Amino acid sequence: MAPPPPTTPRETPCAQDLGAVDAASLRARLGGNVALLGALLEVFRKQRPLQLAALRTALSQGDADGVYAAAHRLVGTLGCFSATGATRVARELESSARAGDLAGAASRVDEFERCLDALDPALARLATHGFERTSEGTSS
Amino acid sequence: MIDSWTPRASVRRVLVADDDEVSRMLLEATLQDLGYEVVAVPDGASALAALDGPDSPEVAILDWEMPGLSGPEVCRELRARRPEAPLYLLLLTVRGGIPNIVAGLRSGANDYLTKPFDRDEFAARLAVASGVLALQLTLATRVRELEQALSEIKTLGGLLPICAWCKKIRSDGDYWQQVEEYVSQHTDARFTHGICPTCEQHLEDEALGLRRSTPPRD
Repeated sequence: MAPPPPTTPRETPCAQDLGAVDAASLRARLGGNVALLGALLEVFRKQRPLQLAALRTALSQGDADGVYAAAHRLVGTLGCFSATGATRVARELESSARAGDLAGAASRVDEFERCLDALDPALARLATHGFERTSEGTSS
Repeated sequence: MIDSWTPRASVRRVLVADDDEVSRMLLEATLQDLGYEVVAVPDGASALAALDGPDSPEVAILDWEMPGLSGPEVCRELRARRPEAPLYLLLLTVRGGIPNIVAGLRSGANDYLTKPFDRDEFAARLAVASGVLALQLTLATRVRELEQALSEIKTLGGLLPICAWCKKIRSDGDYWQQVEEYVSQHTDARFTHGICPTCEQHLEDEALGLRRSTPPRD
């Protein structure tokens, strides 16, 4: 009897991936305007606790539509920052909610929060030092 | 490059409707940088109110999912209320995939873009919007001019009652007008007055007492 095929463990992003930003894409979107990036980051810092609270509340209430709506909005927000790591996890949350898999969504929330924790300093660095230092590729 | 895309005269103001503050702020800054005036609102009902008037923005960038009315619902409502309005509606959403794009365009949107947007592509799509609206405006103006010309031709093409003796024309108001006055009122034609050779001879004969005072007939 043939041995079972090796199972592929679910990809667990390292901390560097969690806060990854496609700096070249972000720079193009913002026209290189670091002041605008700083202003957007300030708004994001204010709305982040509210968005996370909405996500956790919907999860605790078993509200798949609410989880989907919160995750969907986060996908839009994070896309503005070209936050590739956090956007990927937010999309997974969104897909789980759409499929009604709230247990699956709940299992990713902590990881998602770590993404946001890692994203903030990555964006702050860009807003402070500009895009030149990281324009060749992904920043984290 | 981005800077080569400048708004044309037909598009001055753009409405942005997005419930996410970061997205809204980014769109507002981008549009202002491209030279547009921006009206930004956080939901579909506010978007509908801002677009449903004579002095509304010519272009709207609408998110799909918003509290209250969604982007496609705003499109449907506007097309029903203002079917002939020169209004360019662009859906900008994280929803990708052919079924969503088809549903969005069928709701009445002119264009569809997915988030996160590329700035150059976004600017190019807005330039297309300007071009389409300019063409729409030109065509509407031409149609109005043709309708006006057609109405004038019909007025003078009908049966006109004219006095067989003095040549006055009976107008719609049932009073008699000089031919010059009537024609001037119903066309852009104007008159200058002179005397033709036949009448000149007639007037000379009349002065010499050779004729009675009646206009000559050819």
